[in-house]
Amino acid sequence: MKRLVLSGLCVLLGVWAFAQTADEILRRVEEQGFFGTGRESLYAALAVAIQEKGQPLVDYAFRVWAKEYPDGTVKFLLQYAAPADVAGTLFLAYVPKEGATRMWLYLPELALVKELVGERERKGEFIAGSGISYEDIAKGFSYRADYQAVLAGTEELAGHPTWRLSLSPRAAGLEWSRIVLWVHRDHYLVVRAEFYDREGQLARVLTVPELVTDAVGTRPALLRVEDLLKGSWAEVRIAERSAEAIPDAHFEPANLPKLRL
Amino acid sequence: MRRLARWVTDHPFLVLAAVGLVTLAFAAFLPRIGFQADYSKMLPEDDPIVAQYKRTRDLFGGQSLFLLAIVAEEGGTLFDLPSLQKLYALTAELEKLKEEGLVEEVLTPANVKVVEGTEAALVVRPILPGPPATVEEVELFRRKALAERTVRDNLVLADGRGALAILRLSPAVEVREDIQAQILARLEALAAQYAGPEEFHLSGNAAFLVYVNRYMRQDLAFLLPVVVGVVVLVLLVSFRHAWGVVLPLGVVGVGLVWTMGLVGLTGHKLTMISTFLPVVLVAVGSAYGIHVVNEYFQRVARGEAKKAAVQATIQEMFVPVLGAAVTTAAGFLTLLSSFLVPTREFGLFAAFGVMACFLLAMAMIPALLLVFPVPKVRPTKLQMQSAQVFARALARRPSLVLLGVLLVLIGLGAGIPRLRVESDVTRYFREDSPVVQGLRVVDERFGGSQELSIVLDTGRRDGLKDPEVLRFMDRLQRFLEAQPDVGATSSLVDLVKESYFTLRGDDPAFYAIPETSRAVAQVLLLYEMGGGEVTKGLATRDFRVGRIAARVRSVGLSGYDALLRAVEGFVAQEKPAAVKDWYVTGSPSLYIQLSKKLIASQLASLGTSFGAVGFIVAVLLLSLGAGLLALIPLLVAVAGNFGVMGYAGAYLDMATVMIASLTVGIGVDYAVHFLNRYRNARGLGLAHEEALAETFRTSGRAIVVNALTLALGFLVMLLSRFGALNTFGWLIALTMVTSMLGALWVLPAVLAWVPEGAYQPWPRLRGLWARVGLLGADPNPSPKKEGKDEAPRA
Repeated sequence: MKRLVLSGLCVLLGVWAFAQTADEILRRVEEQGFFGTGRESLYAALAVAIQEKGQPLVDYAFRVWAKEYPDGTVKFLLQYAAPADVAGTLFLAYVPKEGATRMWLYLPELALVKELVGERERKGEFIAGSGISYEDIAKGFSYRADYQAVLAGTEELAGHPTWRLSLSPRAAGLEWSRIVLWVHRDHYLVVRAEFYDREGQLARVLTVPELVTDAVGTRPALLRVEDLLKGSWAEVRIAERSAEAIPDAHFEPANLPKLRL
Repeated sequence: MRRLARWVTDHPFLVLAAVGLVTLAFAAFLPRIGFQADYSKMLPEDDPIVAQYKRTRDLFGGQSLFLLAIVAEEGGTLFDLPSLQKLYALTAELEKLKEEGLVEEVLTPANVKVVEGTEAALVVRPILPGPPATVEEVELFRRKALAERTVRDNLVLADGRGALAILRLSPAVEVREDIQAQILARLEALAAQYAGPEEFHLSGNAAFLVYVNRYMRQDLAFLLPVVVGVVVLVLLVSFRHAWGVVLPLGVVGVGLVWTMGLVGLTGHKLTMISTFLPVVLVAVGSAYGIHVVNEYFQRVARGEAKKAAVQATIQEMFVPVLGAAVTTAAGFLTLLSSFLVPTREFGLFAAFGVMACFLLAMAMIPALLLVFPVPKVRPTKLQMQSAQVFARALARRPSLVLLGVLLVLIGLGAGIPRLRVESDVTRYFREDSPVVQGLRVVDERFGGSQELSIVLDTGRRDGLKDPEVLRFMDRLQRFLEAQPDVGATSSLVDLVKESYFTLRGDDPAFYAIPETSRAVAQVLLLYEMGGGEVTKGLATRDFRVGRIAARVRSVGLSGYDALLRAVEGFVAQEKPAAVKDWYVTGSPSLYIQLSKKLIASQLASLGTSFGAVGFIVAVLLLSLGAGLLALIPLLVAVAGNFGVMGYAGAYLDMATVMIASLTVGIGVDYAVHFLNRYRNARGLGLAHEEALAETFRTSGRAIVVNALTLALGFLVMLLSRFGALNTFGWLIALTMVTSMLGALWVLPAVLAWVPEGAYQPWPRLRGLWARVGLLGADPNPSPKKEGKDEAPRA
C-alpha cells in the first residue's frame, strides 16, 4: 500500500514537473525574443524577402532597435533601409504588456511625423504578406498569456536537439487552434513552429534552417515563414545583431526627424 | 447490304439484346454529367485575351463580382436610422462570407475604409465604428460618405436612394461554380430576409454565371419532356398509328442515352450550348425513324409480307438515311472548326448522337417491326391527289417558281447587312429574368455592373510610384469617367491623392499627386501603415504593374467596342514612356474577343459544311450533279436565315451562329431523300412530272413530317429561359421549313431543266455500289410495275 502511495506521488510529481518544464521552456523562449538576444535591448539589421502567390518577389532591408521597459512595454524603432524610395523612413511603436499599441511614422521626404491610429487590417504584419507582426519582432514568441503549453516530447530536428511543445488556447476565439514549437534544448530558440487554424488545418510553418553564433550568443541566421493556405512565404535574414544599450531618446516621437542612426 | 438486312431480320432478338446491353452500359455514366457556365472556359486556354484575363486574375485577385443593390422605397432614403442599421447588419452577414473564405473582399458603405486625419494623426477606418444608434450618427454617416469621392455615387447614391454591396470572388472560387451557386443562394436568402420596404437586386458577372447554370438545369428538365410531347403529337397526327410514334421516339430515346452517357463517360460538362443537345437530338434523331417507318408502312399498305417488307425497307432506306445521317453529322462536325469550346463539344456529341440514331433506326426499328404484328395502314386519297397537283404545278411552271424564289431571296438578302454580332452574356437572358432586372438597376443607378480593367506595366520595380505614371493614370481615369457608359473608376491614384490630401490637413491644394517618387512611396507607406491595403487589386507588390478598374454599363458589343477604341486612342496619345506595356481586360473585353472570333468561325464553319455535305451526298449518290443539286435548297434556307435575322434584329451570337451549319447538315436530308427517290423514278422510265408525283407520293409525306417534327421540336426552345435560345429556336425552325420548301419546291423546279444524266449514278461505280448492296438493291416498286398506279401519267 505504502509503495503504491509512493508510486502515485512520484507519478503526480512527475506530471507536475513535466508541466512546469513546458511552461519554463516557453518562458525561456519568450526571453530569447525573435532574434534570440534574451537581453533588455536589441539591435538588428534585417533583410526580408516575400513571395506571394502570383506576385513578384519583393525584398526590403531594415534596421531595428527594440527595448523593454520595466512596466513590460516594448518600444520598437524600425528604419527602412531599402528600397531607396522609402529609405530613411522611421516607424516607432510602443507595445504595452496590455492594451493597444501606439504607432508613429516619420516620412523624411515630406518631413512629417504622424501617429497612426487606424485599424490594422493586416493584424500588425510589419510588411504585407510577410506573416510576421511587429509584436513578433518586438516581443518574440510570447504565447504564454494566451496558450497552455504541454511538453509533447524530445526529438532531434535537422541535427538540433529539441523539445516539442504543444500549445493549446486558454480561451476560445484565438487565431490558432494549436501551435507546436520545436525548441532548441541548449539555446531555447524556436527552430520550427507549426500553426493550426480554427479548422485544425496546418496553416503556417516557421522554420529556422540555420543557427549562427555571434558576440551575443547563438541566434537564427534565417527565419522562414510559409503560409500554406495562401501559398506564400517570407524569409527574414538577420545580417547583424547586438545587445548594447539603446538610448531612450531613440524612442521619442518628437525626436524622429532629428535622429542620426 | 442484302446480307446485313437478312441478318437483322433473321436475328431480331439478338439485335434488341445488343442494343439493350449497350444502352445499359452508357446509362451507367449518366449520373456523372455536370454543368459548366464559366464563359472564360468557352475560349481556348491559349487565346491571348484569355491569357491576359488569367494573368490579371493572378496579379490582382478575382475578377468576378456579385453586386447587391439596395434601393430605398419610393420617395424614401437609406439615410435614416432603420435603413442604415439594416445596411450595417447586412454588411456583418456579408462579411461572414469572407470569414468563411467564400469571397475575397466585401465592400459596402458600412465597411469601406476612408482616410481621415488630424494635425498629428492619420486614420484609415470605416465611416462609423459600428452601426449608428442615433439620428446624429446617421447624419454624420451621410456627411462623411458624401464627402468621399470613392464612396459617393459609387457605393451610396448622393440622394440616399440606393447603396451597393460589392463582393469579389477569390481566384480559387472563380473556378468553382458550385461555391458560386452557394454564395448566390446565401445572397438571395439575405435579400429575402432584409427586403422591405427596401428592394434588393442581385447582379454582377458571377451572378450571371450562376443563373446561366441554374437556367440550364431548369431548361433541361422542362424542355426535354415538352419536345418529346411535341414530337409525339406530330408523329401521331402524321402516321395515325402508335408505332409511328413509338418507334422513331424509341430510337431517339436510346440514342439520347448513348450520347449523354458518352458525355458522362468522357468527363465533359454540359454548357449553355450543349444543354439543348437532348432537344436537338429528339428533333433531329427522330427523322431517321420516321423515314424507315414511313417506308415500311407504305410497303405493308401495298400488301407486302412482314419480313420481306422489313428487309426491303432496310435496303431501300439505307443509302438515303445514311446520307441524311452522315451529312447531318458532318454539319455538326464542322462545328469542330469553331474556336468556342462549348460549340466544339456540342458538335462532336451531336454528331455521335446522330450516327447512333441512324444505327438504331436501321437495326432496332426493323428488329422491333419483326417482333410486332403487321399494322393496318393505307395511304390516303388526299395525299395522292395533292402529290399529283403539286407535281403538275411544279413541272409545268418551273420558271415562275424560280422567279418567285429569286425575288424572295433578293428581298431577304437585303436584310443581311443589318445582321449584328453580339456575345455579351447578359443579353442571353430574357428581359423578365431577375438577373437582368438587377442589372438594369445597377446599370442605371450605380454606373455599371461589368468591370473593365486597364492594366499598365512599367517594366520596373516601383515604376507606378513615378508621378508621371500616376498623372497619366489620373488623366485616363477622368477620361473614362467622361464616357457615357462608364461609372466609377478606381486606381492607386485615388489612394495617393486621398492620403496626401489628408496628410496635408485636408488642404484642397494637396488633393494631388506628390511631386517626387519618394514622396509618393512614403505616402503609400503611410496609408498602408495606417490600416489601408495599397496593393489589393490595384498594384502588384513590387509596384511594377497597376490596374485601373472601371465599372461599365451593359451596353452590348458595339458599346464595348466603341469604349475600347476610345481608350486605345487615348492611351496611344497620352501614354508616357515610363509605361512600357498595357492591355484592357475584363468581361467586356472577353465578349469582344468572342464576337470577333464568332464571325471568322461562322464563315469557316459554313464553308466547310457546304463543301463536306456536298461531297458526302455526291459520294453516296454516286453523282457530282446530285451533290450540287442537294445544296440548292440549303442555299435558299441559309441565305433566308441571315436575311430574316437581319430584319428581325436577331443577334449573331454563340447559339445563332450555329444555325447555318446545322441547317446545312440537317436540311440536306430532305434534298437527299427527294433526289434519291426522284432519280429512282426517272431511272424506271417515268417522265419528270410523273417522277415528281411518285416522289411526292412516297417520300413527300416523310419529308413534310420530318421537317414539321424538327420545326416544332426546335420551337420548343421558345420556352427556354435564355433569350438567345428563344431566338435560336424560332430561327432554326424557320430554316427547317425553308429547307423543306427548298427540297419540295425549288429543287423540283430546277430539276425540270437539268438533264437526267447530271444526277444519275456514275455508271462505272454503279456496279460496285450495287455489289455491296448500296444501290439498286430493290428498285422502288413503281405504279407501272405493280399495275395499280394511282398517280396520273404525263
